[in-house]
Amino acid sequence: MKREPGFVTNNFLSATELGTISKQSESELYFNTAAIAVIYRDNSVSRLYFYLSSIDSVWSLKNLIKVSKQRPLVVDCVGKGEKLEQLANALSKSGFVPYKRMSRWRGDRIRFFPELAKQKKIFFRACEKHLEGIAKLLVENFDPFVSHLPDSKKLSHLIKDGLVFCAAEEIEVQAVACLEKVGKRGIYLYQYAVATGCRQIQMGSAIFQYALHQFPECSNFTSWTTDDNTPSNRIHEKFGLYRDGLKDIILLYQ
Amino acid sequence: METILGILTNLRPEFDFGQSTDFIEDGYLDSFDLVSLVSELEAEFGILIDALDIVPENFCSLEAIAEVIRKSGGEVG
Repeated sequence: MKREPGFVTNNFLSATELGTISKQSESELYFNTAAIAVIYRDNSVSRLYFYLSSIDSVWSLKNLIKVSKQRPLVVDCVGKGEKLEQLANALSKSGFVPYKRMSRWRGDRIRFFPELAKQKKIFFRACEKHLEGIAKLLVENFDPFVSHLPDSKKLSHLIKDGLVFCAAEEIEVQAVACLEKVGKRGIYLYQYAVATGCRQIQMGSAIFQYALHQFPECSNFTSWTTDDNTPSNRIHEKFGLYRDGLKDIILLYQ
Repeated sequence: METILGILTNLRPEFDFGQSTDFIEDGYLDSFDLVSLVSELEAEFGILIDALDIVPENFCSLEAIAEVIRKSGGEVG
């Protein structure tokens, strides 16, 4: 199928990662000559990867996934420009419902605002006792259809690796920033969130700055936000990040 | 090599790929970039890169990329 000139896929996983997915008991694989569908459970969400001989094969894909009982199916279409829009349009004409749009942000440095560092709220590297509070805050703040939230095992690993920062009173977490290292010089801002009662006091900006300034050796910063998340988009701009043009159009198949 | 360098620079113009010894370790390329890169290489060199070869270590340097192109039947000057 890959030899077809119009071949299109939304799969960004390596063969190894696909192999891991295929071993999950809830994973499903459907195929015909025009389309391949891989459905798998990502925590509480069913995600769909597809391979199409061309965009016109979207109808074929729809016929394949009708068999699956998993609903809704979440489809991430990642790319740039007109091709991405054409794919999203073809999917929406076939019964997939456009849900959210995300943009990738990049930057080679994070601006520093001294006034934010003076905030009384103390940030620190999270430890295992905060795991439950962090997981709760993430679930409360993020839409699982949009965000690939870490499960408790992954969160525990990130905490052990010193990549999770928070503000907390005892075990009640008020703000959190989860990062991932990408190679030696890259940082991916996985998620950051502030509890409802702690907003409007620039805590989002403060933890953003605090967490990302813990890695002076890093010079590549990456993050994703939904296009309608104005507060977060403003924070990204404030710290000098820019949208690099890569988009993720998320659609649902009910 | 110039062609590969051109594709990489077009993909991530903010980086000087000539200065990096490991594009992945230096954070120059992530999984999204790899898929775009594979697609560009296939079109430019008229090859089909095997899915099993799409692993980060095959795209971490100019030499590694040239090698995977050769393995896929392409010619690199």
